[in-house]
Amino acid sequence: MSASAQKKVRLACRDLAAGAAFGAMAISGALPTWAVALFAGGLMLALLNWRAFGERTLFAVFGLALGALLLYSAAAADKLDLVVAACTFAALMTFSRIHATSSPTTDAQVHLCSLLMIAGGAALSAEMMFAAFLAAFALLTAVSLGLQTIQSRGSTEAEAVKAAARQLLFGAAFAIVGCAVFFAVFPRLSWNLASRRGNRFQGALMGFADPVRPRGDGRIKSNPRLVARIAISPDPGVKSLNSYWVGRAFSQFDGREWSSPDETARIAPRLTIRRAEHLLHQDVELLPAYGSPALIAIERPAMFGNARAHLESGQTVPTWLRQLGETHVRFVDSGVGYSYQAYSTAPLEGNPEDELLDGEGDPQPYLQLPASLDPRVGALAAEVLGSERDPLRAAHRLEAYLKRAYRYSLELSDAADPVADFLFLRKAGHCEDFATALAVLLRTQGIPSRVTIGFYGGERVGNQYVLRAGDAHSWTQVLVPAHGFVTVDATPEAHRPAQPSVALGWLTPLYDFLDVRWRTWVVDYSFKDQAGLARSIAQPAWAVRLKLPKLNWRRLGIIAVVLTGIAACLLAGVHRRRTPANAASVFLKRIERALRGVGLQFEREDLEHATIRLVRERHPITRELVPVTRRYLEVRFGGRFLREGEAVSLARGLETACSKYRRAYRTRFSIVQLP
Amino acid sequence: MTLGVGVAALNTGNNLLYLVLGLLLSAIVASGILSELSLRGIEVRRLGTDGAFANEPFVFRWAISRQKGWSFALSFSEEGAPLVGEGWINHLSAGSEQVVRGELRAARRGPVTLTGIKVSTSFPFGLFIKGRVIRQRDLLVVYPARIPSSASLPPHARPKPVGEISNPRQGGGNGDLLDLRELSPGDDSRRIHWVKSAGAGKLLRAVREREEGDGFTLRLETDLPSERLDRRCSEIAALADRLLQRGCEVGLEGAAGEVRPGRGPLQQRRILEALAWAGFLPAGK
Repeated sequence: MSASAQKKVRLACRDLAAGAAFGAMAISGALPTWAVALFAGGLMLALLNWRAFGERTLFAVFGLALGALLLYSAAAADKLDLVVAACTFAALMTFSRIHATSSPTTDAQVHLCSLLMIAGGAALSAEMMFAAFLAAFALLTAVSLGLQTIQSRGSTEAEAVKAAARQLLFGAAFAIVGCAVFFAVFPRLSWNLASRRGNRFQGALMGFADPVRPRGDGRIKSNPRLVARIAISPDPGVKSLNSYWVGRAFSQFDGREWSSPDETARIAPRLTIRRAEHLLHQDVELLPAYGSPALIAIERPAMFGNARAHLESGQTVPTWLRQLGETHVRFVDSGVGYSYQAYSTAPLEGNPEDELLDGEGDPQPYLQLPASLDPRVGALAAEVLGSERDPLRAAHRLEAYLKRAYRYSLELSDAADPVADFLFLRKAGHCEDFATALAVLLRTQGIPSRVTIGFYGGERVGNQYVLRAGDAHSWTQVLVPAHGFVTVDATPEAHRPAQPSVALGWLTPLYDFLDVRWRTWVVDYSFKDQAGLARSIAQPAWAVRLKLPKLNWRRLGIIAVVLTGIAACLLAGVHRRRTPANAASVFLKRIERALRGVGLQFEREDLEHATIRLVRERHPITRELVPVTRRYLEVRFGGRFLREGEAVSLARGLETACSKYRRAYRTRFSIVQLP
Repeated sequence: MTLGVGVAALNTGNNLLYLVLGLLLSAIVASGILSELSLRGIEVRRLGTDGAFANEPFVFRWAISRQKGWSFALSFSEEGAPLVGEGWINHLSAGSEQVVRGELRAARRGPVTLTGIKVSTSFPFGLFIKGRVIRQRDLLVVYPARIPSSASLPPHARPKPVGEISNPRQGGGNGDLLDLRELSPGDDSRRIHWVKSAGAGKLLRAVREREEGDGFTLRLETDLPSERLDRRCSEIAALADRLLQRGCEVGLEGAAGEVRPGRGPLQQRRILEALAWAGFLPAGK
């Protein structure tokens, strides 16, 4: 590798490290778009070895001063967060340095600015991708600094560069492992005061709108982004919870949209919806993708409290709650995310022993129908129900009919009369269509009902359950006299939870698995966790109860084979490294093979003596053989290793000479034989 | 920077800053380990120099090797000696001995005691330099600084003819054989004592009792203050160099001890060495 190629590699590593550091900040989504575009473009140009500033330092300084002025103005005018402004300025500094002509000073400045950006990234977001960018930064910076160190006074042989790169990568890996150990054991004196948990990069996905319109866009069902994490106590211990998470209920339908009348608000730090025993406790964290101030809880919510709002600045503040409707509870303060505790009672099944705890006494609001309702809707309901008048049985009969006769589809378009469009025209729809249709069909027969929105599902990840954006769901609740509202869901079961795309099907659980551990063991790691870790280490070995999992012999066999293969590869590598003569042996075998081709076999003499003999005999291939033999002896006994490609080149030269000799010999031989 | 990140982490409690701090501290430890690996097992031999003159850089050589592994970004210097400069090598692979050249500089003439060779490396990150001293005692004699000679030459110190035909004096001396000396450039080849040369395996010339008067003995005064003594040594060295280049026999006596007259590069070395030691040894030693 030439000196210029080595320099290019080093600069590429340096610039990519700066790119990784910038990425650590950019994942927060807080940086201005122009800064992201400028840096990304600048990085691409730098990687193509086009440096905009070169030696024009004054130009770069003026640019930086202008950038500082603009950022300060934006921060002073409250248009830009001060931390974000500082991080953006660090990015501008890095940009100016990577576009300057490379020198030891410039390189040091780039690395320093990159480190500042990494620190900025730590202050701006708590995303798991930060760890990936940090690791990439560590590896690339280590290689760049190392190459700079050994090439500071001239170029180095390619073999040495490879050996140095191996050591540098080992060093970087060691630093990453050491970083984890330090992180785990260094005493925490304060708890995560300034970590910004929010990520505005993709913005909020959900948000419970005041009106809910059937026939709306259903693409959210395929979105795997997490919107909530919930720890449930007592732990159900099941993989999929398949529960209804109530967000908000709607009672009024105008033919196109569902809405709720304004109700008197009740504000308190803790709200009790209904009193009950045997409550299910939920510790809920609503993530930025949730995007709504409405609280959710497993059906039926009984109590909310201990709410905290996570602000964009990284602070977490307590917030009060506002109850707007029977099931509609909101946070008073707005934040990018929230955490709170909720309690729920078991859902009603409409059984006689179900205790009426709700205050749903007046059925009138749940019988309202739009004036423009298609008369075919009522006729259809009457036809399906026949003489059935029991609310719950009627609801189940209509539910079964809708499941049987209608298809689930997300490919929808807006319609003037969404109910008629769903029931009589397209006969396909998503959860809001099914829920609306069932509620309207029930109402036409005088059975009170309402539509509820929230989530369906609850997938276990670690010790928690998660809800995805795609778990957003809508269903119907029918008012059963003396029992209250009972859930009836006409949406086919398979289409209630999220439906991620096939490509993301296997990736999403893996990401969630890592993300949960990232949040538990890194972002929220505290002194309490350290104490637990210390206790687990200090616990005597005899006190540890080993719980062996049920053995899966097939899986164990595969793991054993893979591990054996890895061990064999490692041992082979070690063996190769321990036998420096190996290269010489390989080289010798190739030489001998070439010589055998021309009938030269050395059984009683080594290559050196054979070469001397052939020289004496003035054999035609000695011109090519002598340098090859000399090089072999140097490699074998002189400790002068073969350069990359040297063995191949020498052996090819010898083989060419041998084949020429062979052809000439054959020609001569044939001439002799012909007469 | 590490300190700054540490203060920020402690102040804010931001766990990701703790992560960055951990990475920086671990990188420092990793740097120490890799530099130690680079220095471990290095064997150094001091090869020395062909000649070191005060106030001018001279090439100094070390032979280095290691049994296994690689070393990177190594620099070599003489620990504790008043010598400025170092030798540098990008990398050292296992198995072969390599010679490192360094440019050193001594401020003044005289014997310099070399106590140890300092091997250091800034590998891997160039942020810290780790060094190790390999104890090896040795002595480096720094010759007087080279200056242009201002002294006028004696009249008979004229250029000496070379060769048989152009030599008008046929200078072979007469009288009994006094001594045998190695043939120097400019010596008349007719003075070679062939029998003795054949026995010694090198060309020796005969020195007779009575020879032509082209010999000079330079005298270095005693009791000169240090700086003047250095200056005087330089002047004498320059004069000796000019005389020797003209083929004269040059000797030395006085504060620098006694050097019997002689010719050639070896004689020049003897004189330079004697001048280097002047003032550092009791007179007469």
